[in-house]
Amino acid sequence: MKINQEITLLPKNNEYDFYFGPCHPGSGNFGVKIKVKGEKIISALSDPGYLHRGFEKLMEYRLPLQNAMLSDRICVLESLAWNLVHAEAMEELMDLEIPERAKYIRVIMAELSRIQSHLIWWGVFSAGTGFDTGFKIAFGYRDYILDLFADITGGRVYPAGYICPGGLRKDFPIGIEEKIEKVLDKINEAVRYIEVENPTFLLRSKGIGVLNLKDAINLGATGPILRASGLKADIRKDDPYEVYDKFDFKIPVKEDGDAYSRYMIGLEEIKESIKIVRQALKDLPEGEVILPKFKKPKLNMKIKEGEVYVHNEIARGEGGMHIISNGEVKPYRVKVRGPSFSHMIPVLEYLLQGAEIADVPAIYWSLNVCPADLDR
Amino acid sequence: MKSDLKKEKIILEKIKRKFGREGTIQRAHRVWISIDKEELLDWAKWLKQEGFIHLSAISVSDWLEEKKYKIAYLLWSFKDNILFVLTTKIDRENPIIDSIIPLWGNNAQAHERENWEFFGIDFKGNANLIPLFTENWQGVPPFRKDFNWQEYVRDNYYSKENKRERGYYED
Repeated sequence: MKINQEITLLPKNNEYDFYFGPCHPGSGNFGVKIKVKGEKIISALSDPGYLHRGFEKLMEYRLPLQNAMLSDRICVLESLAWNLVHAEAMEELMDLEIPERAKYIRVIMAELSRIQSHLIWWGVFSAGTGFDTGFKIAFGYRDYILDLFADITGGRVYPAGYICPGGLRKDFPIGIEEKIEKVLDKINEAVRYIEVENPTFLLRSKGIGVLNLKDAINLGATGPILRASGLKADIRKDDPYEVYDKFDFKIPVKEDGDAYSRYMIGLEEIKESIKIVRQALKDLPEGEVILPKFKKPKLNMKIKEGEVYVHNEIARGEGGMHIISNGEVKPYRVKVRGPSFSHMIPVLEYLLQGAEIADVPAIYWSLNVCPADLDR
Repeated sequence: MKSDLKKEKIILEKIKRKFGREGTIQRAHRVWISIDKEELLDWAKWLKQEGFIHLSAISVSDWLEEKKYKIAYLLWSFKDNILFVLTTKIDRENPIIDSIIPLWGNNAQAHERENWEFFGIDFKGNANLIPLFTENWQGVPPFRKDFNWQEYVRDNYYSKENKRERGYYED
């Protein structure tokens, strides 16, 4: 009886609560509670936590080599990038200088990872805005890169700590360089598809979810989201790691700050990444890929006391790790700074306010989000 | 990577003049300094004026023996390309510190919420401290060193009677 009454009663002021996610096929493991009046969103509240696995705590109980494997899982969509962040942080703590060849291969892997992550971005963004062909093209071409990953690391999605403290677990297999070149040609083909502007896609992304530069900085936006709002900032150039300072590449910047320019940054970055991989392949030096000490590492190897913060430009923005060691074999504290934390809580809540219900998927996916690195 | 650390030295010199404190340059692009918790807002305000406008994260670590929490504010300057790590220690039993919402708004709000949830730190001035990740969590804040997650998981999710799960009780 009571239930029936509640259903028939109209809400006061015509305001409704509306839930985007967490089981929505397009949202990932993440929800947004939205209050709407008519079609307009009055307020939005992010509701993360569906993918919280407590990596930071888990890492305190594990050895660096185990943590290298754990670090894959921080973000499903770009596991190699997180592998790299973890390995760099441990190396900085232990004062290690890794072989030159390993550095080049790391850059190649990080950039291939960025390309496949940006393809997913375009894919889900297209699917979210009703352009299904885009989704299929993106995921089809992404598979070429996953095949490369399988050849090189043994895993398509999770490399199982391929990039580990001290270098790499394995050298490139024979003949992989030509294969990579061929895959890059294929990716160029995908880029040409993406450049064909679909009218639906344009209508649903141009002028939507505008983030101006001041707000972007205040709300903690990084990476492509910040660059789409007009700031030329890229950790690969500003705080160079590995051998990024040896390559010639541009940082794409747009001024508009809307969903469309955010994605266009992604497209430009794919082209730049292809350039970087080609240069790295050309200059790839010969030699070892792992420090001798780490070939058969001792499990009771102690980490030097100290603390470091290492951040990398991963596909979504600034991915960082703050690791504290008290001189034991396991790290004392690990803090993971995922780019999606800022993009999915303050930035998303801010952009949804005042938007229309139909624009939620466009805004949401234009932020290149990954609930996994937010929840950790 | 070789660098003359010019920008880092300039910022340390400015700090010495303004606050009379010595910071350390860990390497190129990294400056660390530790301060008292009462000074936090003055420092944060000054640093923001100096160009450290991006609040990257707030990282807390729990030091059981010292009975302290160490809070690190990671600030990045797009102008100078320096990461400034501002650290401060607060009492573990009575963890209260000023909120930096007046300076970094909703971004600070989200980071503080996380640390309130995981360490139980009360950020004075942050009115909306509600859980982000856990649901109906009752016990010790989960990221504190005295929270034994292995014990918690065993007691809540495994059964001694179950033949396959009995092993978890044996070590």
